[in-house]
Amino acid sequence: MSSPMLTSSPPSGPSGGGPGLVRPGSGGAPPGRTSGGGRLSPWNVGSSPGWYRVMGAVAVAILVAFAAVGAFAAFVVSASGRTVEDNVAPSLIAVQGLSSSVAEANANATAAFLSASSGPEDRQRRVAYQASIERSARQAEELASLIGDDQQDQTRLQDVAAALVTYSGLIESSRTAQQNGSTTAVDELRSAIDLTAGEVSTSIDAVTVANQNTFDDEVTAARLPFVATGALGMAALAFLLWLQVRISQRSRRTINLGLAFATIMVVAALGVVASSYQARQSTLERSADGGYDTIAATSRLQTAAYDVQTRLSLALLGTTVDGDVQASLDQLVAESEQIRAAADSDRERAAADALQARLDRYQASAIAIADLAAVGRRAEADVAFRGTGLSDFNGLNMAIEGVLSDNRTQFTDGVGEASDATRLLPYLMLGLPLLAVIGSVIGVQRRLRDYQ
Amino acid sequence: MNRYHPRRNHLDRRTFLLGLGATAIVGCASGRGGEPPTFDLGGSSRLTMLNWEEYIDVDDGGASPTLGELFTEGIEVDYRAEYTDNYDGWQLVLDNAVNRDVPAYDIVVPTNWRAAQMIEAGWAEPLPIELIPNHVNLDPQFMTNAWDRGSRFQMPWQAGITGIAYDPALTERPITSVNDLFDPAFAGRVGMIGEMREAVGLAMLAEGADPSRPTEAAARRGLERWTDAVGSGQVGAVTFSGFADRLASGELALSMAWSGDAALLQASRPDIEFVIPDEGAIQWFDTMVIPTGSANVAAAGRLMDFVYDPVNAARITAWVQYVSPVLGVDDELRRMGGEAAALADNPILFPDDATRNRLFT
Repeated sequence: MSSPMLTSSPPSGPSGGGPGLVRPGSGGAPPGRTSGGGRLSPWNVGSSPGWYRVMGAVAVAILVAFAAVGAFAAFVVSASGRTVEDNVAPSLIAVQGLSSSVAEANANATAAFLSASSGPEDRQRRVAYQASIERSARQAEELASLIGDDQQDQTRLQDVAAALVTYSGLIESSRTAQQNGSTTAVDELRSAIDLTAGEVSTSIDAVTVANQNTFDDEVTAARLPFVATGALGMAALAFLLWLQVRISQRSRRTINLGLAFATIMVVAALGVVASSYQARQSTLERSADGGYDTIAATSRLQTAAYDVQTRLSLALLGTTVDGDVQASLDQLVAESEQIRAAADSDRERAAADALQARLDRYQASAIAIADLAAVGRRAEADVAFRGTGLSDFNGLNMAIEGVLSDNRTQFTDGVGEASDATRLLPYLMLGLPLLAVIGSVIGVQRRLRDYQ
Repeated sequence: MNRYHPRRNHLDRRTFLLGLGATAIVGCASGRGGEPPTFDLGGSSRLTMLNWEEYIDVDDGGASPTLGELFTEGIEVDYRAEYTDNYDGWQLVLDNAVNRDVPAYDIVVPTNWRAAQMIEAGWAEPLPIELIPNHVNLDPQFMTNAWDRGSRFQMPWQAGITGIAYDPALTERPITSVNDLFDPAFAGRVGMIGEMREAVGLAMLAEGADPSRPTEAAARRGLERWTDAVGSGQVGAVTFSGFADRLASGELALSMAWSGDAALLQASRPDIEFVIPDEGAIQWFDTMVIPTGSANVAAAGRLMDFVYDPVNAARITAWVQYVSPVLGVDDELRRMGGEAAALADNPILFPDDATRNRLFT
């Protein structure tokens, strides 16, 4: 007699109409409904594979969008950096230089005229005038090539160039009239000075403001692209993290390597975006605050010093133009204080201290000369103007040039550094998200193999 | 630089040291251009300086009392008066720049045109301006050189004027023009200094040209004048500082001359005249440069700051009697009193504005 054998039906897979035993490792996904032909669509979210395929596609879409937007934004920002480095920053420096050169031409022209009024013309002042007016013309041309297509600024610079031609003509005319003993010589000289104080100065100031605004715009232009890129990156990161949590809940594997890799790439891309933005912005702001502001203040101080020299020459010639020596001296003091306040290193503070010491000497000389001229002691004033006064002015001017040189270097280095901070960004913003795409595809495929 | 040294007859060691003591007391009481900043010496506190001969005050033992004060700040100066001229001495600078990883010298003092070459070649360290607050005392005329505007790489040690020294008893008339050097009446008794820039520069002035803005044609004409003068026997001797001995001995009646050496000669021969010709004279300066790679930049900066204090600058000027590049030295010399005070009114050491306008660099 045999015992009845217990039998069990073999495990069956899911079948239509009834629950089936779950195969080991397959997760707890419920069976999907059949399609019309009886097989599930691979993209049917009702089935686990279909759901993963759709989520994978969503991940790829977000990552591709991140790559596209990020790369585009990076190209825009990188191009902006190059524009600042190659055009905007040099323009800012050039326009300050133009202003100083015109003031220098005035100072030398009037000093040469003064010397010729009581003896042979001072050849050094004459040569210095010619050099400064030629430099002014060159700087106006250089500026025109740097500012590009801005029609308004181009028109202003054309006006400056035309005015400088008129100015140099007036200077030569006044010189000839002086040589011929004409009484109109001083009037022509004064007309030349008035021209630079009016039309030329106004145009240069307008170009300066326009370039400063352009610089500020370029600094802030990076904000929106970076924010948009960051937002997409965060969305991609959030999605990837959520997807990995869902997968780990439904499988025995805590980490999906492909998706983990994709996540790391997205984090890396976000890190690159954040650090590049931070580096660019902080460097540009530091360059502007520490470098350019000091350049501007120092250039204004130099222009004001040349203006004092011009006014002293005119006073010794017994004539004046609008404004007075004291107002120009007051501006010297104000700019010097700004320079001292902006000094942020031992070397800069030492240079600012030296500048102040030289300025103190020059102020004393200039006031003494002006006072002598005011009471009619022009011969004594003239001796002091050409001797100690000129020496003290040269000392101040050399100190100014030292500060300008250091700060121009600081500004251009900073702008270059900011540009470098975003130079590789376009390639990284293409490469990292695309690597994330590959990782996410691999990760989803790995999960899908669990269902095969 | 000064080979002729009669000063010991007039400024002996005791007098000098008494003056030094007075100067030290005055120096403590007077304001200085700036208190020396605290700084990290970085490298060794032993600083090596290459300078011309007899260009610093020395005691009987051959040490410099002025530089010796730096020892109290922990800086020992190895002072080497081995820069004999801008040719043999320059070779030391070349060796220093080309053949060593760390320079043998921390400060060298070539003439301005050699310093310009050093800067152009990249052999000069930027000066640590923040350690040299007394650089505000630098006479601005030395800051406007096109090759180093603002004195970022060099600061003058002493300046000099190349003019004409002569013995009126031998010339039998005042010498007022560069052309007098070429006057056949003085054939064989004219001295020429073998520095091309100074000799050709003076000759260019005689031709009505501007040596500070030379053209090839003008320079050539200047050179030809000297070539002819040497060839014809007009020039009796070509020297550097040796002209002083030859004037003193009567071998030369007149000569191109360096102002400082002429001033020292006049201490024992007050009859010797030094003039800046009507056409003008050549001004030069010997200047301190820190060679690239020096390990003692901070200490070198401290030395420069020290010698740019008018008190210390006056002590050096009282000894070497060249044109100080430091403002305020004349006031300090007056405070020193005695023979030093008399130097303050010496137009060779302190040319007035009208004279300066006739000097060409």
